[in-house]
Amino acid sequence: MKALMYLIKHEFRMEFRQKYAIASILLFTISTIYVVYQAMRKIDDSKVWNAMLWIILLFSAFNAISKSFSTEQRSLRMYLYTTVKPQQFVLAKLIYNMLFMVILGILALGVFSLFLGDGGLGPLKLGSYLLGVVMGSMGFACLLTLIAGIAAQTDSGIGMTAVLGLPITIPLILIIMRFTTQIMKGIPFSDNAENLLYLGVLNVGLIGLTYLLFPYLWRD
Amino acid sequence: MRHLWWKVLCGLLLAYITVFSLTVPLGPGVIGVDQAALTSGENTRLIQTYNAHLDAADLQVFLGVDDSSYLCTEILEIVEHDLVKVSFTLPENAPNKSFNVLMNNATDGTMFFPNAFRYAEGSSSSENTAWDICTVSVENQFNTAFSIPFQPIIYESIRNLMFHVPMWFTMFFLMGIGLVASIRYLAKGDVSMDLKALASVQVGLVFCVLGLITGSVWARFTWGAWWVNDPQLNGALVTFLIYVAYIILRNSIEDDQKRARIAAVFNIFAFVILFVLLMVLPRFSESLHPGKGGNPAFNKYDLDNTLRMVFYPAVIAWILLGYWIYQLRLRLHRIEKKYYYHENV
Repeated sequence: MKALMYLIKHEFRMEFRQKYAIASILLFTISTIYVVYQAMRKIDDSKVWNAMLWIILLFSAFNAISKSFSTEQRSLRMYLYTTVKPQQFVLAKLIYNMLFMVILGILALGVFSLFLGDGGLGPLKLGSYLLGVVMGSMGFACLLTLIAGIAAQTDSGIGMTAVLGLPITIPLILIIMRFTTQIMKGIPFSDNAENLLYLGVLNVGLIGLTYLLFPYLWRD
Repeated sequence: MRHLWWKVLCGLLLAYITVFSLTVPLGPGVIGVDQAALTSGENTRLIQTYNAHLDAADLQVFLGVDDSSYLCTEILEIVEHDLVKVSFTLPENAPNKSFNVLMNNATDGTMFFPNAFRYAEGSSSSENTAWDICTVSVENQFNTAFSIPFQPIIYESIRNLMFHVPMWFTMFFLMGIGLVASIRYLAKGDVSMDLKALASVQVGLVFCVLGLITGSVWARFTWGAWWVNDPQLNGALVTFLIYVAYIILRNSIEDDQKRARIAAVFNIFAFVILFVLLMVLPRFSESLHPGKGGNPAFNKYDLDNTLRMVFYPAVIAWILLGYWIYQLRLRLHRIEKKYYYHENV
């Protein structure tokens, strides 16, 4: 537990020490939103608004998480390999990625609605939509952490994350899109909550799978 | 020879299901009527059937008013062996209603066509239900001829059941072999397990493509488009993409041990996602596909004994064929290993 906390702290410290990494992720997200803004100005159609936001979030997630295993230096990895268990290591990565993605997701939602309007969301539905963004971002983190770990081991490097990850994210995207479109349509939360439940179950399953499988990736 | 028995069985079953499913005629059924809208008073309509023998024996035609009462019709003319002209009378000021058609004769049994006619001239307040009710006495309810059951919309394409559905069963079976092999590879580090996983995924992908093609043809016939946006279809396509990614992943790693290890991790991950995609997600969302989204699959009503006689052997035959090809593929990989690397696995 102590080691886990330390590792999470370590991840944050590393991220803030290499400010260019965080800056590049933010730059990617914000400039993508700006490109969409230039292309579409204000989006009134809630369907298009929703789809655009999730495409941006998806690619931001790919961009952010695919870096998560490549930033460590080899010597540091060797040190961690001898001192902590792989399960602790990957849990720390998962928790860090989840926190990071949630922050990035909320930030992206804010910047997106600043530029492109709220797409008819309104303050009333914002709460449940925000919940969707949080759960969806966590889902991306759960799903892509292991994929990024796999991709980092291949000879073609992090470009592999997109090849391996894009088909696999589709079930997640399907659930989260259904959840958020139903919010946009104004369907009450109680009728929509089951989608959130599926998402939660999927996330927990993915975390379990990552926890079990990661040790096999880490033998190098 | 003793190990050959299941291959012989596979060949025989495949021959049996191919001949059976392509030669047994489709049972009789009602296809449609010349004009669905009804008026008050007397109506004369043509009813088109398929593979029926209307001229063979005493024909009865009824319109179902509700579950137990039937409207009388008079048979004016049996135009052809599958086309009949009937007339019937609706009372004035009847409530709006749709009618099922039921036809019965000694050879074909009872043929049913739901919501064939509709009456829309009345209003919701009209209450005149003075229907011309007949008492139905049916002697032979069942089709006596040996045939494949007639299903509305699907018609002759029901034969595809013997090809489309077993493709996915076989794919699941092969991907399951791959999953077990990958788990065993991670547990023991045995290189032959890696080859098994590779061979099963390769053959499973072939069956996945065949399933997509047969499904696409079926969709064109029954739904009117080669591809529709449906959870089940999306899941099938994504499954294909994920396993193609598995092959790509393997090709992107040089080192043998590392490739086997990482591919095994991805394969386990992929199977879990496959399960979610094809077995879990479509059940919770609206889907046109039989068995999903509240639609009935071919259940006990549709899958009658004639179909069962072919469907179960078809599933066994295709799975055996898949396993056979998988064995050949595995042997090929082993020979390659031996020939190029002088490794016995």
